Amino acid sequence: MFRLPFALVALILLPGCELLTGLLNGGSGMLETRTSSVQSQDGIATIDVDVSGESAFQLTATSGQLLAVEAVNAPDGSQPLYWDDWSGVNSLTSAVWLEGKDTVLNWPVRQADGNLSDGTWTVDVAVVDDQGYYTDDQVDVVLKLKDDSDLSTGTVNARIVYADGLKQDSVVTAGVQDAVTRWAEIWAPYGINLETSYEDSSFSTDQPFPGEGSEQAEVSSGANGSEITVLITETIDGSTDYYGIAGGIPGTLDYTDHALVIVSWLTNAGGDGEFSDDDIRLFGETLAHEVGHYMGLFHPVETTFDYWDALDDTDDCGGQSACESALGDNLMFPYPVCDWTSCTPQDQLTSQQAGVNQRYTGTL
Amino acid sequence: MFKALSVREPQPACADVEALSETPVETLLELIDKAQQPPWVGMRAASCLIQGHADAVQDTLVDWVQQEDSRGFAILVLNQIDTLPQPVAIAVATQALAGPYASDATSRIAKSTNPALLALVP
Repeated sequence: MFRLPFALVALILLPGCELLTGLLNGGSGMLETRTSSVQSQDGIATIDVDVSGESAFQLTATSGQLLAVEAVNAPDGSQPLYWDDWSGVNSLTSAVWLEGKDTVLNWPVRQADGNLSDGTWTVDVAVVDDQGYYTDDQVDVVLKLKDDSDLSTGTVNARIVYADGLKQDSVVTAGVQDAVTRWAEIWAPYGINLETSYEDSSFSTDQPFPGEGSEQAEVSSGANGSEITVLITETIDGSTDYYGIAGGIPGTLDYTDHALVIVSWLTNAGGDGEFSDDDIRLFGETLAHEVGHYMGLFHPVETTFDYWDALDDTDDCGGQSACESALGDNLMFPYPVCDWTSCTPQDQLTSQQAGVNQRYTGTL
Repeated sequence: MFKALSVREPQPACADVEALSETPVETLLELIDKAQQPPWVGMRAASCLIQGHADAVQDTLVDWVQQEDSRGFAILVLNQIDTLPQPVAIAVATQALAGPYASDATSRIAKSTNPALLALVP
């Protein structure tokens, strides 16, 4: 059998498996972690998720082969997610894309996906070789379950890590702190409380894309299991072409080399190397935008104007003018709408977009 | 070209951006001079100039490391010092080490693999 598509453009408790359970308190909710290993059969690793009162789970699977989520099966026998239903022009989760040797699923994604009913859910993960054929391998799984009955408010813990020397640059630290203040202001109306911590580090000021750097798993290993790591660098992949990039849609709460958001202070400061008030506002929007990706949000429409997110209350607009008019003030719009001297504030989320962020397992 | 350089992601390729103008160097310089927001428009335009037109804009590159209000561009060109043609790299490095961003320049040029540049570092 052949599994398509490759990317368009991260517990299972099984008998005999090692169990590690930890509880972390971050805000009003609780997070439980379970780990295990599953051997795939006929190219599918079937992962059981026992739910008892939890409201969301995040599954991070890794192996030596390519992985993608094939299906999510509910205790009542229904199948609320099947990969091929999301291989078209609407994007729900990158977990169904065959992109690498890990995959991350947060479930549910949307309010429309229903509540996480009690019972045993199963997640079918496809294991595929580099030729696109189903194969078998051991799949290591980290499952995090959120026990938080209130999906209208929550706290996100962001860990800001400065790359080598940047914490000693007052321009950088002042700009980042002011931008984080703006980021918190953007989220507050949607019931998301931002808690941040700041760290110094000796990690390189130039980082490749998430998943491609030798230091990145180490960067994420400093998180406490519910934090999202934001690494402040000078450049990304050797250039200032990238102002920021998220490690996944959604990103994992586990410790992998994809478990971070990377943001370039230099690209966000611009040619003068200083942060004006407008720069700060955009920088704050950039942080909220990139971490929004990490928490599961896609652009409401892509820059080709022919791919959209999976939400009903974000306009499925067509064309630049129509989309800028309908979505130009949306936090997740793919570019800022500017006139050379200023940009339209992009700080709006729809109810369903806020719902995705609230369902992210790290929102407690 | 402004719109193409404004996109949050995916990042635009210089070749694609420059194809939007009959006079790409002049248009990129205009964007660097006049486009204040978003800040990455100027940085991306500057990056395209450094990557593809360093000989033609050598004076601009030297200006960046000498002016008081261009630290971002200065760091950008210093980070790519080893990709510049040798005469341009020597001119930029020499002026940078004597300019307002000497500290930024020293640490970056010291990482160069070019002996001629390393010899400039005090």
